Amino acid sequence: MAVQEQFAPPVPEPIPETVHGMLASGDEAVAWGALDSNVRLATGYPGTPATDIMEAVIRNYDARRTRAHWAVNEKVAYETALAVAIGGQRALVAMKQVGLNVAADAFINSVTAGVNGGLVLAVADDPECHSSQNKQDTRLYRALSGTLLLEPSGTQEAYLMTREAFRLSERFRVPVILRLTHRTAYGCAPLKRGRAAGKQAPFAWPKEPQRFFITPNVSRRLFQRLEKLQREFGECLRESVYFHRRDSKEPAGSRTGVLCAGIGFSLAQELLPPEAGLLKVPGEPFAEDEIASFVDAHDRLVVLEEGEALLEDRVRGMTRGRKTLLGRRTGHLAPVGELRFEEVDALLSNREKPALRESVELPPRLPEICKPCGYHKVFGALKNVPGLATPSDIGCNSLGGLPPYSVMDGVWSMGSSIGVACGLAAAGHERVLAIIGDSTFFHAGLPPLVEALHQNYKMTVLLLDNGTTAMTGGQGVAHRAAGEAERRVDLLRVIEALGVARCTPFDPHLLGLEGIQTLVEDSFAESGVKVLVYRSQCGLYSPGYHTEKPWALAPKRNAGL
Amino acid sequence: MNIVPVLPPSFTVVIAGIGGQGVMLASRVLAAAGSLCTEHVCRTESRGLSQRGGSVWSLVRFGSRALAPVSGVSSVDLVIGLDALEAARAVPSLKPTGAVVSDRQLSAPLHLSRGWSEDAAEAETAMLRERVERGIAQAHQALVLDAQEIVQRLGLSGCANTLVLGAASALLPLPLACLEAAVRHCVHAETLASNLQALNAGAREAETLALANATRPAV
Repeated sequence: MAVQEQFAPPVPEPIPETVHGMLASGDEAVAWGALDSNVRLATGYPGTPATDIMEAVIRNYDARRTRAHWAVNEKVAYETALAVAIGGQRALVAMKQVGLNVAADAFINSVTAGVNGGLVLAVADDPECHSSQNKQDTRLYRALSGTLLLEPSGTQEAYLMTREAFRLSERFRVPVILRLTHRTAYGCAPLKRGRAAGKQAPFAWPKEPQRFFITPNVSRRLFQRLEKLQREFGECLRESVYFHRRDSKEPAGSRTGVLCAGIGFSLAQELLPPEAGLLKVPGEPFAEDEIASFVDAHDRLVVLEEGEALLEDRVRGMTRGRKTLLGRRTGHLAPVGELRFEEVDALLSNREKPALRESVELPPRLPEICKPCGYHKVFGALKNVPGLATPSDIGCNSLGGLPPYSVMDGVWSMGSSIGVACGLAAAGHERVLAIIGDSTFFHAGLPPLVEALHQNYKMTVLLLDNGTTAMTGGQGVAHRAAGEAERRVDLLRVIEALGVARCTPFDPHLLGLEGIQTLVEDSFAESGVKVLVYRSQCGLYSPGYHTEKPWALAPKRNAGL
Repeated sequence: MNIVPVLPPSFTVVIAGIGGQGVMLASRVLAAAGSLCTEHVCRTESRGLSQRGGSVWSLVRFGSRALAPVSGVSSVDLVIGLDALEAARAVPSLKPTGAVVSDRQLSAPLHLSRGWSEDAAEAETAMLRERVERGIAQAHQALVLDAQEIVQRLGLSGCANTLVLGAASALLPLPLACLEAAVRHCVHAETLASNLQALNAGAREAETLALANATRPAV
C-alpha cells in the first residue's frame, strides 16, 4: 500500500489564473511543480526549449523558501543542485538537451552514490532542431546513467510528474530526469495545481565517504545497488497513475495497438479510435514484460515517440517478425524530427495521407540583428577584413553568420570558437579570429583561453560583451549583478590577469566601422593572444550598458491586446 | 445576428506574423475565447529565433477532442495572418476546406531588399506580392483586408491584430460575444476600449467584404 500512497496524485485545486483560459506551458508547469514541492534551490542555464522553466521559477518563487538563479553553465548548475539534494533538501536543475552534454560528467557520476533529498533534472529536447544544433534524445543519457526518467505528455502531467519525480528521487535516492520535448515544453493547456508540500527537512551534509567518495571499490559496490534498482524502476512506473493500458476490442487478426510516450500519448488520445489498443510508457526504464504482453495481444503495432526510435526498436525485438510494426524505421513516420500530425492521423485512422497543394516558393524570413545594435558595425567591419578564419559561438553573435553579413566560418558548441581557434593556430593559420559573446565566454570560453595562452598561440578573440544573455531573452551574466545578493565578476580584470598580450575594450558606436576594421587588422601584427572586448548595450535587455548615449529600442510590443 | 455556431470536435487555428505584431497576444485571446465555449483548449507558439524579426506563428486548438498542441499539413481550419507573406507561408497547413483571413500588408524580408537599388527592391516586392497572392488563393476561402489602413483611419494604431481577429470571427465557430469576453479578460484597462472597437470594426469589415463578394457580378 505504501507504493500506492507514493503515487496518489495531489488533489487538484484550480488556481484563479487557470479559470478563464490562461493556459500554462509545460515549462511553466514544471516550475509550478517544483515550487509546490517546496524546492530549496532551482537553477539552470538558459536554452530553448527549457528557458521558460527557470524564467517561471524566477517570476514566482518565494525567497523565504527557495533560492533561484541562473548559473554560469549547466555543469555548475547541476553540481550546485546536487549538493543541496545530498544534504537532504529538494533541488531543481533545468537545461536544454545539449546543455546536458555540458553537465553530463557531473550528472552521470552522481547517479551511483545518489542523493538524499529530491533532485530533479528537467531537460527539454528539441527533436525538430527548432533552435538547437542537434536532436539528441535525453532518454539515451538515462540509459547511460542508469537513473529513472519520467516523460509527461502535456501540461497537467508535467506538473504532476515534477512533483512525483521529487518523491521518487527521495524514495530511490537517485536524481530523476524529467524529459520534455519542444511540444510538451511549449504546448499550453489549463493547469490545476495541487496543495503545496509541507516543510522540508533541514539541510544536513552527510559524512559518508564510503558512499560519496567514489573510488573504484565504492563504484563497484554502488553499481550493484543501481542494477537492482532498474527492475524496481520499471515496476514503479507500471504501478504509477501515469501508466495507461487498454487492449484492442477489435477482432483477432486486425487488432491495432499503439505504444506511445510523451506528446505521442496526447496525439493518440485525440486521434485513436476507442476500440483500438493503447499503451502509454510514462518513463524509462519501463517494465519489459508489460510491453511484451501488449505486443502479444495485438497484430498491428504503431509506435509514437519523439526523438530516437528507442521504444520502436524494443518492440521490433519482441514481435520477432510475426506482427506488423509501423513507425519511424519502417517509413510510416518521418525518420527524424517531431511526430507529424498528418502522418499520425493517417496511421491511426487508416486514412490516406492528405494530398499536397501546389507549392508556391516563398522567401524565408530569417532572424535578424536588431536595427540599432552595435553588432551591425562589427560584422560590417569584418566583411572588409580579408583572409580571416572565423570560428564563432552560440548566441546573438551567430546572427553574423547569416545574410547579409555571413562573416562566420562555423559554429559548433558553447565556447568552441576559442577551442577551434587553438587548433587553427596550431595548424599555422596566421589570421585567426574567434568570435564569442560574454555569457558564452563565462560558460565555456575560459578554459580554451587558458589553453591558448599556455600554448602561446597567435590569435585574436573578439569578445562581444553586451551585458546580457540576449538570444534567450536577457538572462543575467556573471559580470553584472542583479540585485543585492549577487556580486560582479570583473570581466576585463579576469582577462588581464590571465596575461593576454593585449586586452582592448571598445565602443562599437564610437569607434565606427572603419575603426573596428583597423583594430582587428592591427591585432594580427602582434603575436600571442589578443582580446578585443566590444562593450555596448543590448537595446532589448541591457539598455545603457557601456553606452555613452544610450538609446532604447522602441518597445517591440504592439499596443493592441 | 445572434446565431451560435455549431462546434466541430476540434477547430485548429494558426496565427502567423512577424515578431512584434502581437501574434502571441492574439493567440492568448483566442485561446481564452475557446476556453469559454469549449471543453478542451491548447495552444503553442514558435520560439527561439523568432524574437529577432523572424517568422512567428502560434497554434490554437479548441473543441471536445482538441488535446494535442500539434498541427501539420492539411490539419488547420483557419489561418489568421497579420502579414500576408506569413499567411501565405501557413497555407500548406490548411485542410482542403480551410480558410485564410489576413491583413493585406506585406513586409518583405530585409535580406531581399538590402543592398539593391530602390527600383530592384520594388520589382522584387512586386514579384513577391504576386507569389503571396497565388499562395493565399490556394486556400478554399480567403478574406484579405486592409487592417493597417483601417486602424489608422479609426485612430486605433497598434490594434491591427485585434482587428484581424475580429474579421476572423466570421469564420470561427465561436460567437463574437465570446471573443469580446476574452478581450475583456486579457487586455489591460487602458487599451481595452480601443481593442474592443478594433474587434468590432474587424467583424464589420468582414461582413462588408463578404457582402461585396456575394453581390459581385459573375464574370
